[in-house]
Amino acid sequence: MSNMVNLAANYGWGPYTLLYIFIITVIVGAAGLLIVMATTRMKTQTFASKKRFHFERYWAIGTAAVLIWLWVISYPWMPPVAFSSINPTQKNIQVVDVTAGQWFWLMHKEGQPITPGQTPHLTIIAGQPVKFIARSVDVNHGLGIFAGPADGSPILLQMQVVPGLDNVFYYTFDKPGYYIVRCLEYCGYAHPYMTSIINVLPQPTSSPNTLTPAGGVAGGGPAGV
Amino acid sequence: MQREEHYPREPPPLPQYDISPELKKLVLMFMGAMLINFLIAGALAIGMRTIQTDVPIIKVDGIAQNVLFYALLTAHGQVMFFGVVCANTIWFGYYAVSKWGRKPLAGMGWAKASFWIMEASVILIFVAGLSGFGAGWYNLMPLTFLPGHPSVTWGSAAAITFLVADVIVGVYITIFCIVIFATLLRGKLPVGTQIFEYMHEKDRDKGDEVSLVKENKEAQNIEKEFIHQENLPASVRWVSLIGINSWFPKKWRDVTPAVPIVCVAAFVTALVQIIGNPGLFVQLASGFASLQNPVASSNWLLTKNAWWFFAHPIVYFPLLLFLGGIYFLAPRYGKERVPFFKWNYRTWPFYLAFSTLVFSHHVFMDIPNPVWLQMMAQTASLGIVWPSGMTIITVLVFTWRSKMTWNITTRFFIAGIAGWMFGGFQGTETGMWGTDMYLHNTLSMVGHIHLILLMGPLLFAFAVMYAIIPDLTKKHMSKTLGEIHFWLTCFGGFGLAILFNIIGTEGAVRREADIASAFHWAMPYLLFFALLVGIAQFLLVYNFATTLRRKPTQNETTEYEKLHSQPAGEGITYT
Repeated sequence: MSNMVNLAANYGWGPYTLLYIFIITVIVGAAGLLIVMATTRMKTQTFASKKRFHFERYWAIGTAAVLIWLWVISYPWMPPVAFSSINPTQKNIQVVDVTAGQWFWLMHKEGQPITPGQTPHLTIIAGQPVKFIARSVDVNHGLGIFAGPADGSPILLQMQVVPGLDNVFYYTFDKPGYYIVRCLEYCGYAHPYMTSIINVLPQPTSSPNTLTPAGGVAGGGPAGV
Repeated sequence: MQREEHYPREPPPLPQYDISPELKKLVLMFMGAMLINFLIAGALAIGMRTIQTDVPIIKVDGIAQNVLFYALLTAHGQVMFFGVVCANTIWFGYYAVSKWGRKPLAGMGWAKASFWIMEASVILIFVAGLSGFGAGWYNLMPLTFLPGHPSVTWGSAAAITFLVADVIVGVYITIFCIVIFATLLRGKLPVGTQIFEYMHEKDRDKGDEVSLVKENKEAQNIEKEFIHQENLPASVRWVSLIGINSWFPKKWRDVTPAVPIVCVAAFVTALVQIIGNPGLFVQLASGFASLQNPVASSNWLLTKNAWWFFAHPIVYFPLLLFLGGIYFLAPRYGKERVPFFKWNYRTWPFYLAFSTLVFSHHVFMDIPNPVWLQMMAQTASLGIVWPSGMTIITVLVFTWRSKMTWNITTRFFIAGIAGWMFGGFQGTETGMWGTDMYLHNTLSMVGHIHLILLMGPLLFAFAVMYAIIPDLTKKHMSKTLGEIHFWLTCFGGFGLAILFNIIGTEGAVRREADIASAFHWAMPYLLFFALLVGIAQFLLVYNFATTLRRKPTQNETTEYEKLHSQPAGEGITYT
């Protein structure tokens, strides 16, 4: 299981894998339908031959087996399971308070002073779990972190920020670099502009020169999975 | 033994029960209203595509452009749901339970009322849109009351208009469900014993078919298995109408006979939705209660969950009934009669259970939700795949075994299966948290919903329209226009949905009026595909209107009279 998770981009199989699977499915499915359409007039069957044909039964069992397998392999990705292995008292957890509102992100790492006029962009350390505690001051928002600073970077992780509740999410950024933050839940007319940046620095033991420049691909993994 | 010797080359006629002229008129009214709603809502979509393509037809700057985009988006989404695909289910539901239930529709007055109430709701949605209301089709509260700056967006009046429209939506859908229940739960129903293959009419093709079935011992009791009208006891009726009896051993199936699968589909559709409807009313009550103080006065997580408890069944509402319709279309054009094949029925208890519970995959990303709900989300989301896969394979295996006539209707239904299959596959991906992580609230979901609704149930509805218009009007629609309608709809619809999927999976966020620059390249193509779909529907509307207006030809009249001069009897040839 751990190998599979390691192969996966983060919590799952990654967006591009999904895209390839989808395209292959469309091609195979369309081809299958065309074959059915093309060959439907070629069959000569009798009542007795149909009676012996139990394809539906095997398909039912096979489909059920695949679905159960999918349920099992995706079980570790479920939030309650993925987060359950994290020790909240772990010393190196970076706790980040996120305040979402129309149309801004305020992200603050606990223990760091807030300097008036300082950019609200967040700076954290790679390789150490991050506990995001997100709250909304008005409507529903979606905390979406993208795997890079540029438009068109794939989604790395996301969670909804429901007003009136603490929305908690764990994640470990493995790669230093810049990660763009966008709101993923429609929240009003300026929703497309509700963005921010997370700057992930290398661990102090690493050389400062390993910092990924803007435009570099960033990535990471789920904490505790 | 060659099949041609035993089965007619032409599709057999519809069941011999002739629905009332009043119901025929109502069905045609629903179809007409649906088409008009579709054109208007489609025009709104083309407006959205135009804005995102930066075509200088709609040119307003900055915030005003965003406000316009979201008003178009909201009205488009809600009207497509509640004025188009739900309308399709309603006209086919009324038609189907009367036709295959072989009885008048119970509560005809209520059925007519549902039409006018539906149109009132659609008009109110448009009015709210014209007032700038743009909280999105799923109207995620408390955004309804907190639009940012009401002076540039929408005020309380527009929000209240929209909420009232949704109340009315809940009312007309509830009326539909009650009419279906009243029709199916009272009086006699056509019933028959489920056997593996053919169901034979008593007085038709007797010689060859009887000799054929005598090859099989099980079929020797065929005389006992003719379909007949029966007043089933309540307990047996419910078991039969949900399709549970298909899982019984054969000796139990003899005492819990099967009813036509279209009736099962109608019953399950209504049951799923009547269970889900309270979710809508809870959400709306929460909204009305929060008008004064939207931030502090409600539990917005509960409100959101309540909405999805209604709003995922509403995605199945347009679909399930037409799945029953496929089981009628496939044999009709495949020159087969397989009315009570048990695997066709076995999926329906699962549709009932999982359609009700599958809403929970919309709340994956709401981390504060309880653990059991998260677990149920994944289980139900994968669970619904099983009956879907079974339906697809039973239809395809049947089609493959048959001598299908590939006309407009059958092409529409096979294309509908393709759309539903591709969209359903993506639904599987969103049903698992680890993959939904990348897809949730991206344009991939927009692609998914267009595959599931536009290229699934809507194509099924077109298939049924082309098939039953002759029964309603004694006239055939133009074949040439139908062909063009089919190809343009498929090319445009699949192009639109698949391109949404591709850029969404690459990270394009949904509901962004100002789309990220990395995806600007796709916008002209999306506009092109949307225009193709729109042009196709103009042809359909023209075809529909001219068919209604013209007089039937001599050939059509003769064909119709021949069809309806046959003795109805108590037997049904197929469903």
